[in-house]
Amino acid sequence: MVKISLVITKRYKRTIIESTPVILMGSLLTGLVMSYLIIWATVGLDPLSFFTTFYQTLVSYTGLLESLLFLTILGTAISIAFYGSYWNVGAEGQYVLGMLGAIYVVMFSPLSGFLSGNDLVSAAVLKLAAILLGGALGALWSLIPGLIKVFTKISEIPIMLLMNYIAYSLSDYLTAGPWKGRYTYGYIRTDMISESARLTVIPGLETLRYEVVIAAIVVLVSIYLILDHTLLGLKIKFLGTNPTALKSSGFDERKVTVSVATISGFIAGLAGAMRLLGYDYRLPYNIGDGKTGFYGYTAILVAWLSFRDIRFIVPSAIIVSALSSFGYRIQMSLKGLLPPGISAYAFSQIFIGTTLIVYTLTRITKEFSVKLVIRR
Amino acid sequence: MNEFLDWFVRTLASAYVVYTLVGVGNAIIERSGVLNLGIDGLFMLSASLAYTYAIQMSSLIQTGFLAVGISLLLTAATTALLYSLFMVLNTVLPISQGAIGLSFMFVGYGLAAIVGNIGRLIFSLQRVRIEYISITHV
Repeated sequence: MVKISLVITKRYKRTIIESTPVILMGSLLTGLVMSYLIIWATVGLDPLSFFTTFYQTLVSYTGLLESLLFLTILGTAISIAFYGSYWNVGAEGQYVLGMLGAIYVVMFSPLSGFLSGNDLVSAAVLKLAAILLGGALGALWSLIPGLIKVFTKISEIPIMLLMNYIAYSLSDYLTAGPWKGRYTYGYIRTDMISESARLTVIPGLETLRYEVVIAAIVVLVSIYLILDHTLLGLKIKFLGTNPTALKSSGFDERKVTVSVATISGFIAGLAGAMRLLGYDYRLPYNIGDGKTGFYGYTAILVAWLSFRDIRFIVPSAIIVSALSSFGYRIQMSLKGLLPPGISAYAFSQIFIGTTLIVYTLTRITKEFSVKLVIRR
Repeated sequence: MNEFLDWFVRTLASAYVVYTLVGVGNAIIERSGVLNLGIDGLFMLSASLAYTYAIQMSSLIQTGFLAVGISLLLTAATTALLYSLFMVLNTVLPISQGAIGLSFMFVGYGLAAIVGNIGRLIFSLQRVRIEYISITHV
């Protein structure tokens, strides 16, 4: 009788082939080839145009960098929450609240009248205040489910998912009601924020803003330092892996949960505020209809792909943003090839899904050795 | 009151049944300790599959009730097969359950948009074949 078994053991020695970049690139390439095979089997797209499109996506990096930065910031926010088993699926709502806070400061608060001058200092103070209030509102929005979790032990996940819709509706209420703009050509939306309140465009890279780049680096580095070099980071890690040990060593797990919720919400709100000040410049009506880009939800994917390791946030953000923009591009090149009724959208989704499945499966070879053992 | 009841049954009750079934199904998976984030994609895929099977079955079987029942069973069987693959990956291999779940969601969305069309293509091929047979018999 033949006995087939899959033996999975943890690796202790590492060779060069098993080093991280090789595994990452290898997994991604395997995923690309697999999903190409699926597309080839169904519509027969030639490999040259498929891989040229992918190459072009990587080369025209400016559009990629924009979503990469936001996914990095939001992915870090969600990752630190996941470390402390605070399942922050409400980053989308916190992001919208950040937008609301920012537009309030630069258009409607007393501060905006006070600092309306065009000099650098008042503009900088105004922007900083807008970003900070956006972050604070995001933190408050995240604290509500956090406090409910701490005091009533009700799971935070459904509360957060529903609060995302409350955030959308709150934004729509303000856009159509008290904050409705006067110079909008009949559209329901707010007015544009003033030139001085907008973030600074990097010359030569029109899709990037100085402040966003700085914020992404600062957030990433500071969260890395918090997690690896402070007592709070240790407590967060304990809360995620062994909450009983945290309790028995005399720490209050409720305080840790509340601080994780605050930090995570603050960063997500920060991202929303920067999006509004740097890119959107106004609040649209019906914001839940894809007008946020669903960054808050996509960043959950980034956090999962990083395998709860803060150092892998940037590679996974690159993978996700490259895959999604490649998905759009491949839709263009598939357009003439498909039989009527079959959408290119379907192929871009299958492409993203297959690549990610293969990537997730092959990535385990970094830490584990997988062997197929056949005994007779 | 009658209007209200009519509206209630039309809008809420149908959604209620669907949400209850999805909720019970997902609760079984989550009870086993596996995080299931792929449910939305596979839900869409199963809707698409049900449509395709129903069209196929109604062309094969004339009894409407039987055709609907069989297509529902086939849909359930296909989705169960996909989920067992999902669970094997999740339990045998030390992988990130969230990542694999979200990837399944994308694949589900994509397949859901294609399955109906593939079914239509097969259906039209069948019709051609039947016509061919009938011509030769004449």
